[in-house]
Amino acid sequence: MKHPLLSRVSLIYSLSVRNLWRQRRRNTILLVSVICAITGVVVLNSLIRGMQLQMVDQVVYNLNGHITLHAPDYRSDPAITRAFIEDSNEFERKLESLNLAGWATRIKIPAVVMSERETRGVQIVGIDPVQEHISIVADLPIEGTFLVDSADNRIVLGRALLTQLRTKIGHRIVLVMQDINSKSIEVGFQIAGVYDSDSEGMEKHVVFVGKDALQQFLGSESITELSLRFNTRLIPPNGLETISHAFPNLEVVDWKNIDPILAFMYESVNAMVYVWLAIVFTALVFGLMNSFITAVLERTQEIGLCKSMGMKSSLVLYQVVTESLIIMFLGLIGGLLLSWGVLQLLGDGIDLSAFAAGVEMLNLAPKIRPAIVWQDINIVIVATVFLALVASLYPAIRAVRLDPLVALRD
Amino acid sequence: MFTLTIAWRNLWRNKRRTILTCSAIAFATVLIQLGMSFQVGSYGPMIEGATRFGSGHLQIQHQDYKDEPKLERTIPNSKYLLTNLTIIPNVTAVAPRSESFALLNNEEKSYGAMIIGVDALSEFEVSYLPRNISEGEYLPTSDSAYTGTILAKNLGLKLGDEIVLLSHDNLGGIAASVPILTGIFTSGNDQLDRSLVQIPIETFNDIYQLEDDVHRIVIMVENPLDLDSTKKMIGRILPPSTRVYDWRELMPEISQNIRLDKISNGIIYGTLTIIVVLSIANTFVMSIFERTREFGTLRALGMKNFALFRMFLTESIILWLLGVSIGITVTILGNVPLAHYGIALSSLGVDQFAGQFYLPDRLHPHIDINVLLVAPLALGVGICTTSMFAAARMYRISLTKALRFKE
Amino acid sequence: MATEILTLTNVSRIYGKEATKVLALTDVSLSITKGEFVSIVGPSGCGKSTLLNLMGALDQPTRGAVHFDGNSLGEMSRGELTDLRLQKFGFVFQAFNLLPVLTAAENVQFVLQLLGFSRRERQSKTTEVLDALGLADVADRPATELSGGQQQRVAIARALVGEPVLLFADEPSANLDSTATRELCELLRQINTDRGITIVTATHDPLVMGYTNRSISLEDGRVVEDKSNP
Ligand SMILES: Nc1ncnc2c1ncn2[C@@H]1O[C@H](COP(=O)(O)OP(=O)(O)OP(=O)(O)O)[C@@H](O)[C@H]1O
Ligand SMILES: [Mg+2]
Repeated sequence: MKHPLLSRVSLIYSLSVRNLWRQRRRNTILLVSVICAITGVVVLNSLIRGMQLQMVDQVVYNLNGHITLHAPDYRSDPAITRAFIEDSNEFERKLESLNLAGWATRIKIPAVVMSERETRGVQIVGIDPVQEHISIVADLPIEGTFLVDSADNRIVLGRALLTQLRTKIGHRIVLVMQDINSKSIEVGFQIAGVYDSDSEGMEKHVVFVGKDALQQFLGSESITELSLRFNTRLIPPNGLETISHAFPNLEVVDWKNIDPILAFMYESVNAMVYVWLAIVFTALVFGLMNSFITAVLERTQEIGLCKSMGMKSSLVLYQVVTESLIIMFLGLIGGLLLSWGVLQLLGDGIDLSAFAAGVEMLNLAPKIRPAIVWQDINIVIVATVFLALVASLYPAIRAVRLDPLVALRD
Repeated sequence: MFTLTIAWRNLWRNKRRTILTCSAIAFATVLIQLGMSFQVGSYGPMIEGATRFGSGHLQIQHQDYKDEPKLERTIPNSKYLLTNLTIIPNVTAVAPRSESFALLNNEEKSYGAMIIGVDALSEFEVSYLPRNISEGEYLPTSDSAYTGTILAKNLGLKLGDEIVLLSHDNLGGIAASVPILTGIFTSGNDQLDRSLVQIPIETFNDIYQLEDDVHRIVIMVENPLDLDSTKKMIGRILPPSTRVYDWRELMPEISQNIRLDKISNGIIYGTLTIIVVLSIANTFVMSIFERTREFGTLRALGMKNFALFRMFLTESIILWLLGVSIGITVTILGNVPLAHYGIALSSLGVDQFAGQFYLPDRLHPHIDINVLLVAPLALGVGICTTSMFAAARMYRISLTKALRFKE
Repeated sequence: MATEILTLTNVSRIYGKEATKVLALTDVSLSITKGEFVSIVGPSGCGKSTLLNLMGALDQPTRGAVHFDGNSLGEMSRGELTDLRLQKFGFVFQAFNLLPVLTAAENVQFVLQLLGFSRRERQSKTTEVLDALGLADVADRPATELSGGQQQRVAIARALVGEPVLLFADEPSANLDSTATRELCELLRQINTDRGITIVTATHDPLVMGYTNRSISLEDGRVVEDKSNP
């Protein structure tokens, strides 16, 4: 035995399907436009999201980590005088509860490099190579050799800088920097190797030396930063607060603070996703409305007949709304499947290497890999249902108010 | 005549539908046009800023200097060349620059920076940097120096302080000088504000033993669109082993960003156009199939296929014209105040970064014929194509069936 | 002197294919002579409309041939058939089929424009025909606002204005009451006698049949009777 409500629903459903089929040409086009719209939104948003997350990846990966800790005044004037003591045991203890991929301690200070004939400004980065599995350092292609350990007193620099300095692997270069007493010191380093990077800026400006070796030259036992990377792509909720609590004497900076332009771009991407959704769905609503207004008008006689016979015309109206829901549902499924196909085709990303210089200026990755964010998809689903109701309810409600005589005459 | 009357009246048979369709067309038109007008409006200032703060429209260098800037790769005999350049039509200003990387010292710190030797008067004409002075004067004497705010702050320098410059000269010796800080600029571009020192070019060439040679000659032109022909003309009078570049070659990031922006926006506009055209296609299908019997009657009465086709087309063209003219009107009306006052980038929260992309404080959308026509034409092509498809389907129905058609 | 203007030889019309095949007309041969007022009668579904459509070059026979003025319609192109309908034939439909967006006068003028008449000629011819049919008062009213009888008369005006040789009317009275039907029939007879236009009408209304001077009866797609009415 079927429940009366259930049988009523199934009646409306089967009538709706039949009506949709009767106007199949029109409804096919409608369906195609819904599919196009949903695919447009999902694919473009996945690309935008991909871009956004890659931006974050790059910053995080590029010797910053998700979170870096500094002495409070270090950022306004990066110098070894504004450093803090490295206490591995303490770090280990405080960080063990977090879901970290790892942490690294570094010294980052400005220096001037001089070869026989050229002079350049660089950032000298003192590292412990074993800790750097969390950063880009581990993946840099190296010609020659990389630093073997923290005490290695040689230097590794970027290919662009090597060319600028007109020097070679195995040669010596001199770096001028300030020691713990703010005195300029000149230190000679032998070039151990050369790295290549996607970023010309990095190749020109970042040089690596052993952290312990650098500490000796500077006359200090401190480090200027502790950098953390989580196992997740973004900082987990509360991650920042937990760390701030654990290190009350240090300035705790997340990747957004490292590069405000990037943080701004990151935030504007969030807005962009919704703006784009709104635009596409507005464009869609015109076509939908048109269709359902016609669907109601076609049934004016039906409605008028019902009304003049004292019956509820709502049956017809439920049908129109159901039709709208069915179309949007099919469109959603079709759109999501098509999006999946398109994203599959894009596969390992859109190559932007033809725009390398511009891409670097915009902090983009040279290859955009789409990323699906489920929250965005959920919003698309909600918006679709909402649109289905809006586009059909308006004409339906108008029709309910219709004067039966007018309805019959039309 | 009748075609037009019939088409027009048919459109108003279903007012709501026509209004919705027109709105869809107008919506897409306005959106695309406004988007494009801001895009185009930002490219101009971006190029202007980039050329004014950086490369100039054209630049002459030693042919190998761009790849590997070495002190000895200079343009010889610059005075003579500078005079000759001013005679070339379209050239409005030229300025020589010599440059080298140097170490700046004050008592306790040292920083690396670019030292640029400039001719103060010429520099005024090619660059905005002298105008962005925030303190002091722009290179009043031969021993003066002009630096950015950030650099001055990092070095702890005030006006009147000495700056100690150290580097290698052309002959491999040590080049040292101690100019006095007489002016500070704030360009908004951190890179410039952090790493640039200008001194008079005579002083520079003395220190570095360059005599009359310079590294770059920066050229501004009257009409940037005519860059190529000017570039060619300059190419003819160049001394051996030098080359002339345009800003696109010198700052590929700017022109690439513009291209990237155009492509990505093109995709967005394309998607929008497709969705709107499909919405409209749907309306056409409805309105044409509803009238199957009318078209059957017309065919029975002896109306030729072509005339019928023209009738469909007229209807869609009217619809298109209506939508597009509403759109264009809205765009233009909206753009008049916008173009006049501009949009403050600070209101969008992007002002801090504008300098990085050489953008001004206010962005003025720019409307040109391209901006106005691209969206309407794309929509027009889409609309006409879909209406033709709908019309073509109509012919497949046999006359007898069309005449019996019940709505 | 009787001249045959329309001849059907062994005409069959089959709709659909195989399983859903319908033999709407089977082996029909007949000819229409100039000046006749012919009715095609028979029960619903016997093939009246089908026959009329074939005569009026709206449809092509599956087998057999239709000749107009000695020319085979089957050998004409689509464009030639369109021209033939425009210049030699007039049509009146059961549902009137006026263009709803045009006024009565415009509906008539429209055909004249298709025929390539100048603006002035169009106006004078339209006024003339509307006056003749007693439609002068409603000339400028939208077609949709006219009564059924008025609409059908506008449809006749539209069919007449091009001065056709043959006028086809498929159940012209089906949507009219008996008074309007009588008026319509008077009008058709007048057109037939005064203007010498040959008329073929499909009908199952004995009233209409009574006005015609020849009746062709169909049954199951075959001609079962072809008689002259005195
Ligand atoms: N397009 C078509 N496709 C299939 N069958 C058709 C078609 N047109 C007509 N028929 C069939 O052919 C037969 C003759 O139809 P026709 O319309 O000529 O009859 P009629 O005599 O005009 O009937 P009525 O008096 O009801 O108008 C009918 O059985 C009809 O179902
Ligand atoms: Mg019939």
